[in-house]
Amino acid sequence: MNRIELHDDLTDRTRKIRAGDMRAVDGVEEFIANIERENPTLNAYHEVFTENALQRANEIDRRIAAGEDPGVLAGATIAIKDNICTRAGHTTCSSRMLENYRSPFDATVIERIESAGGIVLGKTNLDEFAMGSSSEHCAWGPVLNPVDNTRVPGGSSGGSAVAVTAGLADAALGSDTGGSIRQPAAFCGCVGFKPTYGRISRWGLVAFGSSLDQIGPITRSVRDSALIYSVLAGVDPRDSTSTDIPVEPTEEVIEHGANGLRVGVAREHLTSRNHPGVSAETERMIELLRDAGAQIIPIDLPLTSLGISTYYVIAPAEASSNLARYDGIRYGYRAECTPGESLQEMYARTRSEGFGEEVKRRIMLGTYVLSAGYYDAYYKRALQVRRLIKEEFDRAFQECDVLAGPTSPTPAFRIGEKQDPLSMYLNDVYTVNANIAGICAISVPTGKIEDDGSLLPVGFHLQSQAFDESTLFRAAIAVEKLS
Amino acid sequence: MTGRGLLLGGTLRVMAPQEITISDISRVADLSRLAFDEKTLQGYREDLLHILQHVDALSGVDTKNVEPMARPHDGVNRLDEDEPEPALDRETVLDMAPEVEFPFFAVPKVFQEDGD
Repeated sequence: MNRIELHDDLTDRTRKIRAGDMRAVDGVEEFIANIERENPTLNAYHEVFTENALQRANEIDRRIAAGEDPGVLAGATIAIKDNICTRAGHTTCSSRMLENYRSPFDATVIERIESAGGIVLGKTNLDEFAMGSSSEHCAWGPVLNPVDNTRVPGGSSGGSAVAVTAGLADAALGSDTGGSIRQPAAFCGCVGFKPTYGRISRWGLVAFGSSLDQIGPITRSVRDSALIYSVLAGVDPRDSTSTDIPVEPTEEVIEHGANGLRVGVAREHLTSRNHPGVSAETERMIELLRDAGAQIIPIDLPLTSLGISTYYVIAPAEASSNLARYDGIRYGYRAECTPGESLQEMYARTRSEGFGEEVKRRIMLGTYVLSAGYYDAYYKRALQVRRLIKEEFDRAFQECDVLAGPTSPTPAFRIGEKQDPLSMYLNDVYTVNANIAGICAISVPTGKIEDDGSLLPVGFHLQSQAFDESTLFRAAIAVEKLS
Repeated sequence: MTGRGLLLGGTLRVMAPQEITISDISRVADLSRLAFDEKTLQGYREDLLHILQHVDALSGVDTKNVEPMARPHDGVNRLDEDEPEPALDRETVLDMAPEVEFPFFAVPKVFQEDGD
């Protein structure tokens, strides 16, 4: 096991740095040493910005010594999923298509992290173009789970989840289109948060499913997640889908605890499709919440069982459109020319050589469901079911404050275990609906369960109504304290 | 149970998906600007059939009078004021391109000898 236990979470570390009790540069050096030791095995990072990070850390230390306050993330080292644009290094999306791509701009989230004193430590590996649930579909090799190296860390933000769990950064950013922050957080044993759609700017996030994607933090504690969210959230004029609904402060509400919280539990989430240990662990946490004063309310969510079907029409459709830009003309990979080759042939060879198998599969699926003759039967129908799923959540949140259940039906599976694409997609059964409906959700690690000789983390999944992050964090802190 | 979209008869009605022929999948590959050999094309055909069998569960939902929802919160694009702002300069843009004949992106011929 490659888990390096750190005594401080990000909140503790930044407090100490801001108070002058420790130096930012010491934190960076510690993580760089951890990366050098563990990353050759785990393959969490594709690039590490050692010089930049040390320079930033020294600057932060100098400012603190001069009596300045660099911000609430002062000295915090953040690993960045490699589908988020940084001017430093490359932005590859773990794809040969963008192997040599250098972004001319920083994503909004990068600007906000650095304005708050945070330090971008490097770029982490993912399933190519964020399409996957295991981080096996990475052009630079699979990412390994630090808890058990024969197992996947989950995906697509596997590198980011591993960086946090294995002590290779204070925190990380991932992106979540159908569960790609929450599921790897569950598989690795850390906290993964997806905000309400529109809360965090997507400017600089390489687009996969534009109506589903959100950036979010992966952290060692819920309070770290809330802190990073407070820095990143807020309207961005450069992202027309970002919301101008005010971000409410979370500090007061989140300490209210479980007493009086109405926790909805859907029977659809505790079925025989789950690993028995996952169901048992979920039920244990629900009972602990009840004992702590929460009101447990059975909720029916029959339409959420159509989430996978709905998602795997909408997401590939949007992906097929978003990935049309990769044509070998303006940036990215271009296939080597053959004499007399037409432009169309060049496009096809470039894209066939530059994209991996899963990406091509989703482009094909998306193109099919959008094509003439099939658009109404698949894409339009999926958008209609999407509205029905959203309305089902709206009714549920009139009866409860949060919905609770397992993040994933199983713990981390073995590398190479899921060869059939559909069996891989079904991993997302509990996470996709939050993206379909645009609501906020978080995975909090609770206990560990035994599976085939390994003791593996399990994630407890909480969902709240759109824009109600305060209630979500309140419930998540309560769960974390009970774990 | 309240709410719209009740499953017809309370159970899922799963229909067999339409057959996807090699001609269909070739057309999809063309539209996607992807090129495959015969064996790979056959593999993607089988994958799509398998996935669409699962997706076909959507056909059992009553969607009469349900407005499609393309984006959460029925969001409306906030438009910018029509005022020019600095953009990327030409050198930065062309620096990212695989092939350049300054100040242009270089591409294979668009029109072939036979007028295609």
